[in-house]
Amino acid sequence: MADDLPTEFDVIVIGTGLSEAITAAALTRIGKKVLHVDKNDYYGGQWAAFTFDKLLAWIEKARNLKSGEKLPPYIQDTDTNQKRLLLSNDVLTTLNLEVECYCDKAPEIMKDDRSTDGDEIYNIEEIEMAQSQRDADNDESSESPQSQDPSSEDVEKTPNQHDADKSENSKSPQLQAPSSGVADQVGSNQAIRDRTAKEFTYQDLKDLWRRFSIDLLPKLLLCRGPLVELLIKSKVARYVEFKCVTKILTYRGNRLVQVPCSRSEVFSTNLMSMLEKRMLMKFLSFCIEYEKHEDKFKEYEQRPFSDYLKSWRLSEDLQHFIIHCIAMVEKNVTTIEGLAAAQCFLQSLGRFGETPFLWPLYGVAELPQAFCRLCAVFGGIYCLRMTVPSLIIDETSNRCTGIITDEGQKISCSNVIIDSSYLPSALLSDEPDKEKSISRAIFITNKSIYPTETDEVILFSLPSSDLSYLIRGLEISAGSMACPEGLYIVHLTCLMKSNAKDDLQEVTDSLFNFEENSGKDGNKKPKVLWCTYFNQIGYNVKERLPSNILTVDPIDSEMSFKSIVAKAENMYHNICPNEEFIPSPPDPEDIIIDDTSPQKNGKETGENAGFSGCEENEEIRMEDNEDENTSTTSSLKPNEM
Amino acid sequence: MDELSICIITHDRKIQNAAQNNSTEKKEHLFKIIVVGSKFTGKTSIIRRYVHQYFSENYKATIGVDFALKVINWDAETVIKLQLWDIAGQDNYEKMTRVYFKDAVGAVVVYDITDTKTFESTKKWKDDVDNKVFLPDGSTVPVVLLANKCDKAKIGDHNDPEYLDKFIQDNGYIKWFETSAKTNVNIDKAFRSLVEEIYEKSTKFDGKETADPERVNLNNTNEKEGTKSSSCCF
Ligand SMILES: Cc1cc2nc3c(=O)[nH]c(=O)nc-3n(C[C@H](O)[C@H](O)[C@H](O)COP(=O)(O)OP(=O)(O)OC[C@H]3O[C@@H](n4cnc5c(N)ncnc54)[C@H](O)[C@@H]3O)c2cc1C
Ligand SMILES: Nc1nc2c(ncn2[C@@H]2O[C@H](COP(=O)(O)OP(=O)(O)OP(=O)(O)O)[C@@H](O)[C@H]2O)c(=O)[nH]1
Ligand SMILES: [Mg+2]
Repeated sequence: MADDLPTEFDVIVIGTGLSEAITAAALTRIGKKVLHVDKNDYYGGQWAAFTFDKLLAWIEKARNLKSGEKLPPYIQDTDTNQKRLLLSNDVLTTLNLEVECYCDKAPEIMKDDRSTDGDEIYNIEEIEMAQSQRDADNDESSESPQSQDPSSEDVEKTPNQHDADKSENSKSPQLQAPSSGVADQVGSNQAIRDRTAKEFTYQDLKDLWRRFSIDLLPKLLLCRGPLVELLIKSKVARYVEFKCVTKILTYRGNRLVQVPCSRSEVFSTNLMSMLEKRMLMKFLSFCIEYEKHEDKFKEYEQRPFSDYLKSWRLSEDLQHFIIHCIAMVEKNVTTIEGLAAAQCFLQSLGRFGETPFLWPLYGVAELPQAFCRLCAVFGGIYCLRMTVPSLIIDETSNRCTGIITDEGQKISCSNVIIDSSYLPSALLSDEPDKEKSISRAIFITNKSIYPTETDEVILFSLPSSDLSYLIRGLEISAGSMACPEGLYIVHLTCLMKSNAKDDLQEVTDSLFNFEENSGKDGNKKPKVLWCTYFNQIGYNVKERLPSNILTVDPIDSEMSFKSIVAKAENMYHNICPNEEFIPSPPDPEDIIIDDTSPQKNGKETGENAGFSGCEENEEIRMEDNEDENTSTTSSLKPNEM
Repeated sequence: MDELSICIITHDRKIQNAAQNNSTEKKEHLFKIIVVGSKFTGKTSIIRRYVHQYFSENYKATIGVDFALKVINWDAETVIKLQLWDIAGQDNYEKMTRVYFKDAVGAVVVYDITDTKTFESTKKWKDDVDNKVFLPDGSTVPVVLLANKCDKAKIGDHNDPEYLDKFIQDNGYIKWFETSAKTNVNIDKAFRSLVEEIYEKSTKFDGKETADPERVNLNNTNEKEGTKSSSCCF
């Protein structure tokens, strides 16, 4: 496959998650030769987003993956003083996967065909067809009246989800789906109404597969956070468009309420008394420039943020707002962390919209791909579907000198950046590191949790009932290009406590209906059509690796991207200590292509031409000429050869 | 048709410039066209020939450039700007990032008439395009097939015109052309016929493509308020 790859690179990057992608782009940007590989045939690893059919395929694959034996991580090369670090493909990064489907009349139990050996450590629980369970509690529903729906007959014949004919599915043209086209938002209101009037069936979801872009690892960008600044500076922003989060919600009592995000919203909200409003404003004004008033927080600096808030004599409700909705931190953070988080929130307000957060159209998975594009534009070479069986370690210097490809080819490099889930399991902690692991749930619903007239991107932030941890939710709709008209995707995320379903069950139950006519207020809540729960797992690397192998956790539990960007910058500076981190690329508008530059040695011609660093190639001259007329029509000198 | 060749400019600045330059109210269209095909088939050469009017056996790759811009004075009232996207280093396993396909309205699939394997892989490229880009009505974008390096001797029966006529029908291309970037055969013609098709479709969708005003494009930094201090609502 990789027969024509060059055999020498500066850096080989294994895994296409976001921090790897940013680092790879930063490296090629200054002329480093980078090979960037991923074992999957999609970009992003645990950062990917899938269409509905691909998500089902991903689930199926994750369910069937068993952790391999813990083999010795190294083998000795007999005739040299080199050893090989054997990489693995079976470290489980997804655990406790469950799928539930509620939108068909005749659910079929999805059996997990894997034998459940008692001694399996990470037992991926059997997929449970929750409806059948709930039906048992509720006999009426098995004969509930929607069978008038003409489509329900077809539905009963729907093959069960895991036997679904994938190829047929992927061929079904997106247009057959009754929903309107992706970009065809104008004038499709009628279609939406028709759509909501009708029940969605499982087959509908499958027919609409193409309209979904379901993120494994949803996160939000703070409008003044480091990722936004990086996107602007690196011009990677040109590959991605965003929507502002339109509402932030939380629970009060058992009702979802909108968190006031601006001065005027604070004053107009009826959630608090006038006195509370003044207290809140006073506190927030302080937060914005808390550094200037060290005397006001010094003694609490390393003590819990919640204690500090009490010292301001803020009401319980206000404390809840500030901790969970403004700072959005776990309860046990220190005052200094809490203040910094609240400040970041406040500074990001109003830059692009009413809330401080941005969501990328098509999902967060666009971001690693956008940085990969920048990397490629600057000469990085991409190989997906490429497994790297081993790294070569020189024992004298204790450095990694290259990789061996699956065809046995040696490719040398001076640094390796690797997603730690590619490492042999013997080098990883036995148990997931819970600080690096999260519980996730994804719901496809028929209605917004907070219905309005407009297309919303809703963030909600809810403490667990014992207040011991925080659950973040995100609801996106068709306007975000991530789901079909008339449907909603809700993502829930929290730090892993035990397993995804248990960790999130409570919030799930308060947000959604799983049955059509459950309870009196039943019809007000969105109905879940389909959902999945899973844990995304990070491990600790137990052993010290050669210092030129840099490892990256496959995911990160932060809501925003601060630590991801910091990690990328850190890896970059580890390799290029004195270089600027992704300097702005020259505006293409300002580039003069000048092919008359003297020829270098012949080896760069022909098929290797694309692989050389910037400085060896065409001269890129910057004209810092802002005059529109000349800069658009910058000159081009024809080649004289 | 008066075509000026212009260097590469970025999307957003171009729009601003265009607004300022156009004293004579011309209607302007911007089309993104992606050029795909196996390695070494001549994609970059074709773009260079079309945009910059030259060919070189051993030019060096352009590093750091997303796309080349070609400005066409289509008719008295219409200017068409084409962004021609080259696939950079991402072609190794013929798996492109989705951002590459984003907003494309047409595609060019290139193969090398002296290399049968490159013809075989056109199928994969065409599928990739068909699966990842759609017009507002959900239909696939127009694609032309270029049989490049026609200054050289053909290898393989599949280069036979009758075979290709049927092939493009079966595979949903709008047309095919024998091209040579080297001797400048059919390059302009191929792009013209693609652009005609795109243009025709675009007039059909005119008005429908009103972008969602809620979208945020960081490059145009449509910030609500200017400076850091004033931006904070509290
Ligand atoms: C940036 C962007 C722009 C878009 N622009 C438009 C637009 O302008 N107009 C429009 O109509 N639509 C647009 N779309 C919609 C888009 O075309 C469809 O979402 C897309 O075709 C679906 O394919 P994909 O990219 O998700 O999958 P692919 O990129 O085709 O999937 C990647 C590969 O991963 C493999 N794979 C997936 N899951 C697994 C798994 N679990 N295990 C193993 N392999 C797996 C697949 O086999 C596939 O080969 C856009 C989407 C994006 C992301
Ligand atoms: N004889 C002939 N040679 C051509 C023609 N077009 C391109 N070439 C040569 O084919 C080689 C590859 O051309 P490129 O334009 O680099 O091809 P590419 O598809 O961009 O290749 P990659 O970027 O590596 O995927 C170069 O040596 C060109 O000079 C042509 O029409 N005729
Ligand atoms: Mg090229």
